[in-house]
Amino acid sequence: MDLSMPREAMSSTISTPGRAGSAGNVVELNEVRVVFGDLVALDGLTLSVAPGEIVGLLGPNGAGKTTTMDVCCGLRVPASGTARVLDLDAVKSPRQLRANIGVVPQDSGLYPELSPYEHLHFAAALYDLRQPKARIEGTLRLMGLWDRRGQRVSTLSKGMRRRLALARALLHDPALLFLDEPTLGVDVQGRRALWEHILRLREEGRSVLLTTNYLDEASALCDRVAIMDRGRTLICSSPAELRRGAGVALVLACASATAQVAASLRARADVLHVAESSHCVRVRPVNEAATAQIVAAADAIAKVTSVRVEEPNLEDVFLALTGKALRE
Amino acid sequence: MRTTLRVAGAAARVQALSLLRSPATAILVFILPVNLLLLMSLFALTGYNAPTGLVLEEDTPRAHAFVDSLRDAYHSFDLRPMDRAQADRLLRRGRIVAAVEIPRGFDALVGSGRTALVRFTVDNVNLDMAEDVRRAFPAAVSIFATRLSLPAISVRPRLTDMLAQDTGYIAYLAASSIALAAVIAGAILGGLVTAREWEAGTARLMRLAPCGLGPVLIGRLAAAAGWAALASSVSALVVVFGFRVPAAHPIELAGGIVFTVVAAAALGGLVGVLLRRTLPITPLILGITLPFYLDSGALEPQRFDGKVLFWLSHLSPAYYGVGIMEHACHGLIVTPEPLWSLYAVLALVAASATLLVGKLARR
Ligand SMILES: Nc1ncnc2c1ncn2[C@@H]1O[C@H](COP(=O)(O)OP(=O)(O)OP(=O)(O)O)[C@@H](O)[C@H]1O
Ligand SMILES: [Mg+2]
Repeated sequence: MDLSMPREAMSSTISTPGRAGSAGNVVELNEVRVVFGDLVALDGLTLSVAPGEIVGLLGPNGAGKTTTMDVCCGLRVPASGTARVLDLDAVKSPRQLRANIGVVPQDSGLYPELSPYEHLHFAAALYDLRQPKARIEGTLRLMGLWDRRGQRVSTLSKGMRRRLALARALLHDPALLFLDEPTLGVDVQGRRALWEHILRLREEGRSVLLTTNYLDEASALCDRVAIMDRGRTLICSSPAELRRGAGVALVLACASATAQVAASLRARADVLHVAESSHCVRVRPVNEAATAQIVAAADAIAKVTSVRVEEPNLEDVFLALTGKALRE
Repeated sequence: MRTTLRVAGAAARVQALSLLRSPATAILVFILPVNLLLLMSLFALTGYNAPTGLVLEEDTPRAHAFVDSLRDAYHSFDLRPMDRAQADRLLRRGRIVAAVEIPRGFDALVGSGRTALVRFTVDNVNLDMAEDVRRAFPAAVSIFATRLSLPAISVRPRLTDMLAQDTGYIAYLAASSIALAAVIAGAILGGLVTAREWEAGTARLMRLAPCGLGPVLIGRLAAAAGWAALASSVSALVVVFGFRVPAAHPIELAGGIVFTVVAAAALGGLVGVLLRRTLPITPLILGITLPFYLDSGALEPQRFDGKVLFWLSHLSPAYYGVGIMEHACHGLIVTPEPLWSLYAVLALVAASATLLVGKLARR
């Protein structure tokens, strides 16, 4: 697979220079390196989150998303580089920092035999909240869990558990939230509900760093998306800008012989990527100028009944950046 | 400090709820020690009064005097009257260890100063018991001779017991088993509650709370120790009421349970923090505890045992617990160390293990 669009070129066109490194960010990671034995989990990662911003870390399994979160929370000490969170050194992780961040871990970290209410009651003690009853009730109501407050967590659905984990992270009113795959394993409806909650966090002026494997989630929620692979951010930009940078995709509907069409298009130098389904071939040209020639070439093999121009999705972006498909 | 205590208190409350709601674990620590107690006493039962067939061929005063002498020989015969054929049958089937046969004409022979032949058959398949019986038989004969002032035998033993009353094997073992219950219940629960924090994926979350994971674990350990103390108390009740072991010093009994349980829970908690997995906790704790328990004077005062074993047993809280329990129940001092030092060591172990748990929780 040839990687026609060089990373550097792409970065320079669509990243937002000036943001990283600027003062006042709630998260400031600089050249962070984390190693586990021989394995380099984070390889000089630089990342920032501005106040009131939702930033998404998007990447395949093992890219280093959770490790990045751990560094931000002070759970993992980088081998080199600096991590400042809320203007405090995350490595030294003072109580002050912990009291102002909320975390939803990748595995919710709930006790199956306790109820939502008991979880929050315990969390209130952990964060030394006085007279927590009203706050617990408010948070549970907000997350739609009030009716289930006495039920054991083992009997709650996955989506409810994620909402409970989010409720717990919010209880002490943190300015900054770390959500590690907040909708992991949650069905479509549940995801939408969670998205609403997350978007509301921004309205409330909180900042969020979240990770996700889902492309649409990153698009729906994030002001900026940092695409990660092998412990580095390949790019960090708004979803819209990323799409622009990745160019368009053509969906050609063919009457027959889609396989031959796909094969011949794959051989062309002006084609970045070809994917085929039963009656369609999805093609990404290197640039829009090549579009006409590609359609003509396809039509020569099998009748093209329609051509649709599609916005690229984040998968296309990832493909353009890394030369490989994003594993979901 | 106050915040730390409040967090530990909240964690203890949550842990108590968890224990109430996961009955398997909670009940395990109640049942396990009592079961072990029953297991140990089964071993013991066979070595106690040897079931012995008594074949009495005549009903005379001297024959009865001989039977009384047999009865009075120390811890030996559980005499069961029967005829010879039955005695032979039961011996062969292993239901009795020995048979004594007092022949017809016994009274007359003894009375006239002649030799009477008393047949005594021992099933020596169980060497321990056979030895007991073999030793007890001459003793019985000499008691008989002394009582009847028979001229031919002039044994006049003069034994002085060091202790006011004998402590039977079972009674001794049962008292020590309260210490075993306390160690096992405390250590298993302690290990489970700390390891679970990692297994549930909550340890990292607790570390993000302002006071960190340490107070949470310590609160959980406190709840575990409380639960284990309850479980050990059940064992103690079984021992006192079921096995009729006297509780000479009830306050010491309660104190011994508390000190042993707390030390064991803290040590178990340490194991849990190191392993971070619940599955190996129970077998591991049992595997470590039982040999140490047996070596720590559980079956008999262990001061006569080999030096290495003796010192090794000092590594386990069971050693100190057993020392306290034997005094609490029987008023026995079974360790060379003074009683107060046993409590002191347990307290020291509990404090240092708890500190270590708190320290390791920060990693
Ligand atoms: N405790 C650890 N010990 C050794 N290696 C680790 C540890 N934690 C993470 N890693 C490795 O570091 C790399 C990054 O892991 P990380 O969990 O950050 O990935 P991720 O992007 O969150 O993946 P996922 O989408 O599966 O959650 C992986 O290769 C992982 O195997
Ligand atoms: Mg992860």
